[in-house]
Amino acid sequence: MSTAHESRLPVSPANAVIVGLFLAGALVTALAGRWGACAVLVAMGAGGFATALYARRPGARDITRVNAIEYRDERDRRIAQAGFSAVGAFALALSLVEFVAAVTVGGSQGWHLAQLVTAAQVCLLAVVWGVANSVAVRRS
Amino acid sequence: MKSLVRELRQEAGLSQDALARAVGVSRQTINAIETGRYDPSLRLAVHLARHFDRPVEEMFDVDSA
Repeated sequence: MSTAHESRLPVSPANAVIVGLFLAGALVTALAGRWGACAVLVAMGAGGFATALYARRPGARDITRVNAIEYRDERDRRIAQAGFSAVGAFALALSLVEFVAAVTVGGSQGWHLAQLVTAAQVCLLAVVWGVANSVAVRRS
Repeated sequence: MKSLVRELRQEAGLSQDALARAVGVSRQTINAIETGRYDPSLRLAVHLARHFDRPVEEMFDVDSA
């Protein structure tokens, strides 16, 4: 009698994929001899794994679980849907800004600007995701 | 949505955590249902009704805001 999804993994499948991607990236950078990038990717993978384990403990707060993609029940998943909906809407608007900026500036400058905006987009979307999750938790 | 979850839980002498474990959700979800901030799925509503041996329509006032 449960609305929770049981898993044999120590972390959620989504986190297992994310950690796996970081470690695969670390392996590729190590083979290419880029040790600095390798260390960063290993640290990010280990950090992600530790965060997931922390969020999975019995007394974890709902916002901690949702931000760590470690959903325990239907409410966590509903909050996550609301959070990702906000991220999606914001991403569409931001992509439009990026496109207009790149087309307006044009040439190699436009390309550099697009790269800069893409990097900023990742950071901005992460912030939007966190804020949207917090709002969804307070509302539900 | 209003519900009788808090009243029935307290009558049964259960903590939010104990009820949450019994129906397989988090303590925060039980708290959100009791305070009317979260409307449970049909599945969870039925599980809660079964737990307290009450009809689901008696447990939850679907006509409340």
